[in-house]
Amino acid sequence: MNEFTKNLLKTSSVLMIIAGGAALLVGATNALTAPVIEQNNIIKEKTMLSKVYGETADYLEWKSDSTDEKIKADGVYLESLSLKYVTKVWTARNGSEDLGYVARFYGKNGYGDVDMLVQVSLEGSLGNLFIISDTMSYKAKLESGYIDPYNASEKDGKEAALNDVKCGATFAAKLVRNGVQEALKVCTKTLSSTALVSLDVSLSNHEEQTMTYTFAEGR
Amino acid sequence: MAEKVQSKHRESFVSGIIRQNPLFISMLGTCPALAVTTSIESAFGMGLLFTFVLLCSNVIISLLKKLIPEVVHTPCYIVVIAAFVTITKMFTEAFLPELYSTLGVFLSLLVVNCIVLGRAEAFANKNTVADSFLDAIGNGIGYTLAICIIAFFREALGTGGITIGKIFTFLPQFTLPLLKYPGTNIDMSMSVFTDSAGGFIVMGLALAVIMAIENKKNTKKKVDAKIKMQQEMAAKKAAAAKAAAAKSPAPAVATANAAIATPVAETKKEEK
Repeated sequence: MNEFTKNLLKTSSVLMIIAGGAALLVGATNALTAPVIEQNNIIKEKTMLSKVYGETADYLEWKSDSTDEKIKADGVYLESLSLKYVTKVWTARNGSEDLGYVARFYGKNGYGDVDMLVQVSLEGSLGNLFIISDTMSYKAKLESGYIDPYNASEKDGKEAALNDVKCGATFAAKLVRNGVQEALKVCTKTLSSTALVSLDVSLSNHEEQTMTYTFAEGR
Repeated sequence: MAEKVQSKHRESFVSGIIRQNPLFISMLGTCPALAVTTSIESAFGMGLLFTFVLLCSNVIISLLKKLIPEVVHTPCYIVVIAAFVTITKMFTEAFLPELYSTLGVFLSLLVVNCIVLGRAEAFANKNTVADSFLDAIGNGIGYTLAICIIAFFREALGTGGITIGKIFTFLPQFTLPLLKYPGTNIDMSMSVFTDSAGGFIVMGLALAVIMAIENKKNTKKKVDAKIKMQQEMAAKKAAAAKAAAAKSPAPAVATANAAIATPVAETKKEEK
């Protein structure tokens, strides 16, 4: 065996040992912490859900295997979509009366990720936002400059507050806005599996318009 | 021999805390230091996690230093550091979710923190495991202290008090009012200190204070060295004058005394 082959073998085996050791450590830690993280998420989701329509309401998740016929149909519809942000949708019910919808959406960009709940009424108007987790680097700006004013706005002003993304954390706010717009379309069932493409186009058009507007205003 | 080893251990530990403080002296890791210092609890949490990552990576790199070929040492260090950051992240998300949410992306960014990689490159791969361990503890304490000092001033000036128990939820929550007293009209807090600008202001002031102390120390050292040198020169002159006095006594003694007195007096004047 010549020197070159020896070196090659030595270097690759060292790299393999180190990478393997690291992978084992990470894997073992994941096995240990994943159930706890899952449990924490469930608790947080339940806590946040109870804030949307109150603790007394029942939250029925849209699932195709639900025993409730209406929820089952909604579940089939949800599963037929390929969504970018929305992960779960619930119908809030008090006894036999439907109160409204709650959608959970998750978005990620280079600044971190957001996981939120948005309230949607039966008529299809937007309600408040509830944060499950927010790891954005401009977290404080996003919450004080965008989420709080949005939540404080009146029912008629929600749409305008949602589109006013200039808050010092514009990229994070745009991510939230896109998530909310998708959630609204899912809850009002204005989205079909083929319509997702058109939603993306409309969102990007809106972004372009906003950017042009901001640029022009800056000038 | 044992004393020499002990002194090296002490040096490894102490230098990172004050003399070679990673943040205030070496100016490393400033990005997370500005981002997570809005509250003393988040700064302390970041400091603890940083110390853990630095400690583990330093020890492992020191252990593997002879095994890792020179050409691939940087990728190997990054793999080791990334593994420990991921482990830390998982544990924090599971057991300290509030801290995880507060630190956000800056916890993941520990992978590319220049202090961690810098200590691995500059110290751990050249020194023993014990020294690397002590160096990591020293640097960890130094960094934690530095960010806690910045956070204390930012939180106190920005919110008017220090809140404990908001992130470490296992502690009872209480707020120590310093500039803002609930139930009264007294509110001297300045919200700019909780913003990014406040971080830069506090950090700049802290660095200015440290530089002033450092300058004072250096000036004192220089003056002391000058006095010592002049005293030595005067002593030499006096000895020469005394030798000459042996030949012609009276005027030479006066010259020798003047030779000792003049430079010392001049240096003291300069010092004043």
